[in-house]
Amino acid sequence: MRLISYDPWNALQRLQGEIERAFDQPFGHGLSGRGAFPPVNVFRGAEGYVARFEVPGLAPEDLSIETHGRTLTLSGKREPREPADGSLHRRECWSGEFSRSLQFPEDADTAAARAECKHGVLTVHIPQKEESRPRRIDVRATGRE
Amino acid sequence: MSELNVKKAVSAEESTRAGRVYQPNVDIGERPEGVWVAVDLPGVDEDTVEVGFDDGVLSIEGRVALQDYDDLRPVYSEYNVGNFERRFRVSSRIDPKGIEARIEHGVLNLFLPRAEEAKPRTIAVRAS
Repeated sequence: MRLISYDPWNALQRLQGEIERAFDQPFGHGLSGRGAFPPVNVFRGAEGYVARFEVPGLAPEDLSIETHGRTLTLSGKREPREPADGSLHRRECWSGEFSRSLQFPEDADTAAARAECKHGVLTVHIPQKEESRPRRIDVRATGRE
Repeated sequence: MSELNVKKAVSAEESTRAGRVYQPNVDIGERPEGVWVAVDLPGVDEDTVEVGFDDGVLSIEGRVALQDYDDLRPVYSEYNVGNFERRFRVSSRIDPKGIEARIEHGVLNLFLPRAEEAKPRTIAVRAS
């Protein structure tokens, strides 16, 4: 038996490497939003696609998601911090209104998408269409054995 | 790629850990009572956030929840995922015991109250 120890730091490095390689990958059609807020990563999982947006400072009620055909649109607004008194020394956090659309491949069932928001990250799960999922075909014996 | 969302990596010499570490975006302001700092820490579990204040230097660290990425293969990406780390020298005299920290929707809000002797004071001038 071979023992494999789980090392979270190696797991992080592996994930960072995989994400970096995906920086050059095109996705869908017309998505040229690199640099726009909020940034998004798209993953493939066992059930379909997972889109993960970094939306720090936004509550679920500040976000609106719409799907139309293969397109998913996320919109919302992040209010800037305006101190009532005193001075502002540094402003790096993004604020303003936004709207971003992602077009998913044919096999994505956007109508069945579900979303959750945790720690300032919005995760949208888009399952793969039933008919495009891999299927097991049983082979039956025919004739006499 | 535009500069807007490119996370700044903390240089390798600063970290003894494997994996890239990023500098979180911050807003910083000042009021008569003290200094406030708001830090964007998307994807960081509040239990992993560490805030320190030592010799006038405020340090903030947070770790991303890696289990959220199990069995996922990236197909398109605009940002990298990593732990966050940032340090600031605070010029004002701070009362370290009075530092307040709370985290909500991936934003860490800190308030560093000014030390009693450093608070602005009005001296009444009396006619003699």
